[in-house]
This record gives sequence, structure tokens and C-alpha cells, in this order.
Amino acid sequence: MQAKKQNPPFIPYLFLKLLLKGEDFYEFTDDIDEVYRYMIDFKPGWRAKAWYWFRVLESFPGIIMDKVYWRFLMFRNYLKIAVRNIKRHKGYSVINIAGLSVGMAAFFLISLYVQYELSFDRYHENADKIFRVIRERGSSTGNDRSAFIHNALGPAMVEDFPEAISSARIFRWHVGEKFFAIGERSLYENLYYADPEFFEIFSIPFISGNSKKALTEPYSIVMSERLAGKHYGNENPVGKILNLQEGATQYTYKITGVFKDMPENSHLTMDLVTRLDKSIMQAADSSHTYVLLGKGADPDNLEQKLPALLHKYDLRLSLDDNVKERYFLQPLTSIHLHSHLSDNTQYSDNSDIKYIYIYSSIALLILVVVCLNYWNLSTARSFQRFKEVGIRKAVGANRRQLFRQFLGESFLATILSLVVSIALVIIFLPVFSGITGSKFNLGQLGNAKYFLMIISAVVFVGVVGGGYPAFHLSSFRPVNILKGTSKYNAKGILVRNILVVTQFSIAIIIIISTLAIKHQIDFINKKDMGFDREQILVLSKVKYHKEVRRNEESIKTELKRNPNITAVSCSADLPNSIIWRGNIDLLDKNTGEPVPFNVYTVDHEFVDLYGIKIVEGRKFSRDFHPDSIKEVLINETAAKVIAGEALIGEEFRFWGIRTGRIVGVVKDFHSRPLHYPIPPTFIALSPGSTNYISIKINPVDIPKTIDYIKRTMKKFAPSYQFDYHFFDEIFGRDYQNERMMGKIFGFFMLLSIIIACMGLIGISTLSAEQHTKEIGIRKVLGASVPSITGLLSKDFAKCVLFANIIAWPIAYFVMHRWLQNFAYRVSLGIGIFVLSGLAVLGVALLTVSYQTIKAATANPVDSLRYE
Amino acid sequence: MILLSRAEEIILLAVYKQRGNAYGVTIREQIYKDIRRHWSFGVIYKTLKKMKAKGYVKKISSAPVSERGGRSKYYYELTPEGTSALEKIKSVHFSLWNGIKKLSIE
Amino acid sequence: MILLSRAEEIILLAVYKQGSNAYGVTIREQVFKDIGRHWSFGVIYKTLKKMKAKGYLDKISSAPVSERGGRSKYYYELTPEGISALEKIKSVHNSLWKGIDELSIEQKAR
Repeated sequence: MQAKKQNPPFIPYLFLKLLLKGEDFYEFTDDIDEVYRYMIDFKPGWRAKAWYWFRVLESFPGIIMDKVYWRFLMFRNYLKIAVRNIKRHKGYSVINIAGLSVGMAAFFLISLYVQYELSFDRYHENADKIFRVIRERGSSTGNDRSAFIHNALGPAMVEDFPEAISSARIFRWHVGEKFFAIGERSLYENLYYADPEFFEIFSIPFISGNSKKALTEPYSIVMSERLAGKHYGNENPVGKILNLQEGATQYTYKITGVFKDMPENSHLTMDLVTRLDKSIMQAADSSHTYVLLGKGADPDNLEQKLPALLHKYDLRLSLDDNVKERYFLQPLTSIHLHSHLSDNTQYSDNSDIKYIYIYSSIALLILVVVCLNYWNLSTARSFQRFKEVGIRKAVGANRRQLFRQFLGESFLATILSLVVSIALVIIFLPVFSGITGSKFNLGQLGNAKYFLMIISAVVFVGVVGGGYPAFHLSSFRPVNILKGTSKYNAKGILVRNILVVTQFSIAIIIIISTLAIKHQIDFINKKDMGFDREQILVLSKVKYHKEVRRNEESIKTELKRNPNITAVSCSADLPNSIIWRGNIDLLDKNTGEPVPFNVYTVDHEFVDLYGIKIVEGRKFSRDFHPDSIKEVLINETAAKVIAGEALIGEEFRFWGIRTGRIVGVVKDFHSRPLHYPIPPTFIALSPGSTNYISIKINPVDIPKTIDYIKRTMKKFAPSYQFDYHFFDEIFGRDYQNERMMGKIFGFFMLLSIIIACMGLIGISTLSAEQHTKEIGIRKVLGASVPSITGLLSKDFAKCVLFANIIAWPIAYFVMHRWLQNFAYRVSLGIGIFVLSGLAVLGVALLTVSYQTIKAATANPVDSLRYE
Repeated sequence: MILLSRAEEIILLAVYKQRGNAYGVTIREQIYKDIRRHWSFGVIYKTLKKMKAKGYVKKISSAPVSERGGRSKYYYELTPEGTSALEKIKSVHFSLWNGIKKLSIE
Repeated sequence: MILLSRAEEIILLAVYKQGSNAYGVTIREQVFKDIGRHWSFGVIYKTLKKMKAKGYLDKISSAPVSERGGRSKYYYELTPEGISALEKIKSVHNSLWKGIDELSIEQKAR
């Protein structure tokens, strides 16, 4: 009887073929076929087939679990070996991992910062359709960019342009803080005036009250959650009354809403907002304006239509037709970093995109350095492992396995570094956010994009760092290795040298930059600003206290009674910050246009207290003058610019109705930070418009003096909330960016040196080991220790010198450009370059010295025996 | 020595009982005879593989066989280690159940 | 019914043998007495928890006890399901090992 020859069902067979390999596959299929063939003899075909199907299908879980198990086991083995290898070369591993972690941590911190800065204002729903209107005005002192534009421009745009859906204006008095009274308590807060549309354009959710209706009534006011919490605790302030004291008048506001705090990453944060009314708009003709464009609207197109609009409604701010004005639509998201506005009376403290570029490049550089380091060390170390590789290959390890294992080791080291770097980031985050002034917290790390970045960084480093050596190593032919013929060849040395040079160039560039920055900061600190900075205490927010103003003279007298108080002055401004800036009726002798002046409003003592020197004419006189003629001092720059012959005694009009007379010329002082040239300035004697009380004190018993001042103020103005700062602290705020840069660069300088040195340690050690035989022979032939040391160090010294050659031009170029930011700057002397070069050389030599000396002093017998 | 798991015990015993003729098919049948449940080939081969890795069984390839297209048939056999592992289980079971005639709920 | 695993069998038996005094400590001691190995409390509690979840054990909290800071002591007890699981294991074992008195070493001679 012929047995029915039927083949088992094909599909399950295929599955098996896919899942099982080699012996396992045949074992399974042959066994199961045996039963199958037996079955089809006496059972119906379909039953046998079904049986086959079932047996295969039910085996899937088992098969898959099996694969998983073995994969896992293999992985665990690789891991064990990798860990063992890392432990074996503890020194290198530690250096490598430490270097990588530090580099990665620095990279992460910087990228946190960059990400934060780039994220400003993006949380608004309409973010990409909101624009701020910017005005650029040509003048003899350069282009004046400002966000102050005519009040009516916004509404005009909405009216005439269908693409402009809505507009909102914001306004704040130059000294924005207002004095409010809530029952017994008082508070100072920045008060903003805004159109009701503001809360429609921007996404600021309301906790209490209705955002659409909140500012529709005049004298309605809304506040932030933070403010509400601060002054009302858990109570809902909606419906309550807020009284505002403005000079002699009291205004009553009704609270109509509480909004969620504006996030830290907003270009402008407001806590108290009231409706922008006609009365305000009459008093101030300009404000900040935002427009919301419709979908598909083209901002460039709109920009081009602006001049016509301005002309139609006569919305230019300049009274003079000769002054060119250009208007732009600035996207909301670029305000924080790309504003480049000219003066510091804008409402927000913006940063600049250039910092982002600088820091990003540094972070990237550091990462590159670190990766190069890693690569370098791995490669160099891999040559040491020739023997191990040779033996393993001879015993049968295949290339793939070896490659996987080396790659695995590198990956493990990378993962470890990642863990350490994350720990470092967490530890240093508070310090870092302190330096940069931005408040980030770990919450930012939850960003998905960020994790992607982390992962790609890790992969990048692991693959690059481990790939080349892994590839290289696994390809060696066992015979060569065991014979010892494969050596650290010329190409390898070239690569190594290139790596060293690159690392050190980067380090040198950073060092030179840091020195230059610190030099400039030093310069700023030491430069004579034309006014005194030390020992001056400033009381601010004086303006709102009638009592202070009324008792000004008595306060001054009383304060001066204290032997440790040498001068007291009441003024509207401080030397480095002015309130008023504008055109006076004095003409520029070159352009014939009115000169834009910085104006100080002060009392008699101001000039003396701050040590501002008079070069021509006289100080303010104590004689009483009728109100309409104000004594004025102008500075040298102004004197040079103003048309007219005899300046002293010249009279002119300003502030519309007032007349001023120039009584003297003062030596130029820096009324703006050193980034800017000294503008034409005049100082007007106008006692009574006091905002600050400046008090010059002796540096003895300072707490006692402060106490005395406090008591005096209390005596004459009990409602005044004592708030003092030292002037040099106030002054320092102008240079915060530079200070921050100095600190960050200093940190990077240290970092890059450390990393470069770590790399050097590793390489020099290996190099010394490579040369043990050679050294031994030389010693036997009579070479001295110094000469051998010199021999070994020569290579590295050459690398460092070469690094200098590359680094100097780059550093010069970069720093030169940075210094251009300052109208007053230091020059890049050759000293900085030489100093950096020598320092780096010294450090490098020191680093390699330990190894080279050790090698040079080794006993030749030992080294020649080493085979 | 770590105790064999239930599945391992069952499979090793099946290998023992089928000694001389213990391969996939027969082992699976033996298991069914012993515990009245069918185990999948996947699970059986997988456990055999692990037992081999642990050194409790040997895998023996027979001479090539024509019904298998000229390939070998693979048999399994207990090793001394495997035998002692089973014996250990036997003695553990004994000490566990010693004296317990019948389980009762109090 | 799925067969109890080795560990589950051992622990259920230990609970049985400790009668009304079966809690963490005593169970662990019983296990040691039976198989000569110390198991960690972690493993024991984990298995007890699983057995309870499967319905093989009941967990009984005693009255608060002063040595435990006023907290309860937790005892374990076999349920009828637990008993039958054990009996099943016993019978499976018997049928597995039926007729095998001595594992012969004739294996080696192959």
C-alpha cells in the first residue's frame, strides 16, 4: 500500500522558517512532520492539517519567549564583559566617563537656557499672528528704534486694513510704579494701561471675571493671581475698590478680574492692568501697539501700506517732516531676542539673539571637544588591546561579535556618562539659573523635543566615539596582532595629533575670549564714568509721597545733621537712568534738526553729590528764578553739536512752554551704558519733581547711618516705605549681560582646559607606554632623563603651538566683533594672546610631565624585558 | 543547587521515562500521559534548550535519516547533573509531604 | 487548573503545616525546615500575596498587638481552593513519579 504523500501546510511551515533558525528549525519541523505523516495515513487530510496548524500556532509564545530569553542572556553577557573591561581600565574609564559627563552636562544646561529663551511668548494661541509696531527714526545720533508709536495708529490699521483684525495698545508711565491704597495697606505696583482687546489678542486666561468684559468699563482694573494672593490672600478681590494716589488726585478703580500669572517666558509681564482711557491718551501721545492679523495675512505687504496710512491720518510722531520715520511689524515671537530697541525706557527687559548664538556655539564646541576626547582616548586605548583581540579572534570569536562588544562597551560608558551628566545638571541647575537670571526648573526637562535631543546626543556620542575604534579593532588580523607587527602607525598618530590640536585650539579660543571679556568688564568697572558711584545710597519711589515732597527741605537738613552723611540730593533721575528724552528747541548745527537730548531734572546738590565736573560757566545758582526760566547745564557733546555762538546764557524752549537758559557746560559723563556713545545731555534745575533721594555717606558705621536715614524718613514721611539701594548696585544692573557672559565664559574656560588636559593625560600615558622599548634602548645608550622627557614632550608641545596658530586669528576676529558692541572698549592687546598661549603650553607640559618623567626614569631593564 | 521548576521537572522526567527514545514527539506524549495536558512543541523545545544550557540534558544527533531529508533526528538524554537534580526534587518533595496523609481544613 | 509552581507549593504547604500560627516568620522557618534553604521575606510575602489573589489563601489580621506598636499581626490560612490545589500537585507528583524508585544511572551507559 502506498503511503499518501502529502506535504504539510505551507503557511505554518513558513512561519516556522521565519522564527526558527538552523538546527532548531529542523528539529521542530522534522519531529512534527513525523507525526503529521503518520496522521495523514489514517485520518482525514483536513484533520491532520488542522493538527499541524494548531501545534505550530500554539508554539509561537514559547518560541518567542525563547528568543527573548536568549537575546536577553546575550545582552547580559555583553554587559558583564563590558563592565569587567571598564573596571579593568579603571583610570581611563573614569577619565573618559567624567569628561563625557561634564561635557554633556554643560551642553544640556546651555540647551535648556537656549530653549527657554527661544520659547518666549510662544504660548499665546495667536502667537504667530501677533505683531508689534516698531518705529525707526533717522537722527544725527544714529537710528532710533522704538516701540512707541502714535496712539491712533493701531485703530487706524484695524479700520483701514481688513487683514488687521484687532489691535491693542499698552501704556505705562515711565516710572511705572504707582502707589495704591487698600484699606490700611499700601502697595507699589507697576500699573499698565491697556485696551480691552488686549486680553482677546493675547492668551491670558482669567481665574475670576470675564476676560472679554473686564476692561470695558472705565476705571476697571484687573490683577494677576500673584498680586491678588499677595494683597488679598484667599479672598476674591473682584468687586473691590482700589484707590490710586497720583500727586494730589485720588482715582478710584474697581477690580473686575483676576488673571493667571503671565509666564516667566513672556517679553512683558504685567500684574496690574487698567483700561486705557482718553485722558491718558491725551497726556501721552504714544504707546506700544500690538496688532492681530488674520489668517493668511502678509505682514510685509501690510508694512508697505503703512506709510500711506500714516500720511492719511497724520500719525507721525516727529513734528519735523525732514525726520524720516519707518514703521515695521515685529512678530511677537521675535520681540524677546530680536528687538534691538534703542533706549531703555521700553517696557521690557529684552535679551538679544546674539547671546543665544554665542552660547549655543560654545555648547556645541564643548560637546565636540568632549566627543573628540572620547574618540581619541578610545582609539588610543584600543591599540593597547591588540593582544586581547588577537587571542580572542584566534580562539574563534567572529568579527561581528567583537564589534558588537566594543560598541557595547562604548555604549555602556556613554549611558553611564549620561546618568552622571543628568545628575550634574540637576545639581547645578540652581547655580546656573542664578547666573543666567532665567528661572528654569526641572519641569522644562519634560519636554518631548528635549528628550529627543538627549537621546540623539547620546547616540551620536556613543556611535561616533565607539564606532571607529570598534570597527578598527575588530578588523585586525589575529596573526599580525600576536606577532606584534601591527603598531600604532603613522596615520594613527596623525589623527591623534589633529584631535589634540583641535581640542587645544578650542580651549585657547575660549581662554582668550574669556580674558578679553573680563578685561572689558574690568574696564567698565574701573572706568571713570564721569560721576561717582561709591558710597551713595539711593532712596527710590519717593514720588508718590506727598509728605516727602512737602518736607523735602526739612528732610535734607535733618539728614545732613548726621556727621556721616556728606551730601543729599533730590532728583527725578539718577546719573545712569533718565526719564525724559526728547527734542528741545535747540538745533543741531550740522543737520539743522532739533537735537534729541537726554534730560535730567535735578536739584542744586545733584551735580556735586555725583561729582560731575563743570568745565565752563557756573553751577546752578541759589537765587530764586521765576518758574518759567529754568537754569540748565549742558554737556560737552551737546555743546559741540548745538548751533549758535555763545552758548552760555542762551535761552531756548523746551517742554512746550518752558524756557531754559544755559548757565554752564559739564564734562561728559556716561548717561548711558558704555555700549552707547555719550548723547547730548542737559541737566535742568527743577527742584520738586523728586523721584530719588541720593545720599552720600561715609564708609563708617554704615548700618547706623542707614538706621538714621530710616528714622528721619519715618519722622517726616511716615507713609513712605523705606526702600534703599546702593548706587553702585543700581549701576551694575546695566551690565548684567556682560557680567553673566563673563561668568559663563569663565566656567567654560575652566571646563575646556580640564577636558583638554584629561584627554592629554590619557594620550600621553598611552604614548609613553608605546615607547617603553624605545626609551629603554635610549637609556641604555646613555640618554639622560631630561633629554628623554624632552623627546616625549616634543610632539605635544608642537601640537599646542600649532593650536595657538589656529586659535589666535579666530579669537581675534570673534572678540573684535564683540567689542564693537561697546562705544567704549578696550583694545585686544597682544598680551592676552601670548598669555593664553603660554598658559596653555605650561598646563599641557605639566599634564604630560608626570607620565613622561615616569617613563623616562623607568629602569631600562624592566622596559626591555617587557615583551 | 536551585530547585527545578515544575515544568523542568516534568520535562526531565519525561526524558527519563522515554530514555533511549526521547525526542520532541515522544516527550510531548509522555507529558500528556503524566499530567493529562498537552504542551506545545514550542514550550517543550524551549525548555529542553534551557536544560541543555544548564547541563541537565544532552542532545544527541542520530545518524542521518532518509525520512528527514537526510538530516539527523535529535534525541535527549539526562546527564548525571540532570539526574541529581531530579533526585533532589524527589527528596524535597518527600520532606515536604512527609507525614501528611490527607490535607484537611481545620 | 494551572499547576502550582514549586515555590507556591512549598509556601502553601508551610502555611498548612503551621496551622493557626502561619505568619511571615513561622512560614519562613518552616520553609527552611523543609528544603534546607532560607528564602527572603521578600519572596515569601510576594508569593503569599499572589496566593491570596488567586484565592488559595486567606489573610487574617489579629487583634492589635502591643509589640507591633499597636498594629495587627497577619496570619495566613489555606482556603478550600488552596487545599485542592495542593492535592492536585500531590496527585500530579504521584503520577509523575509512579514506579520510579531509583533513577537509574544506566543513562550514562548510552
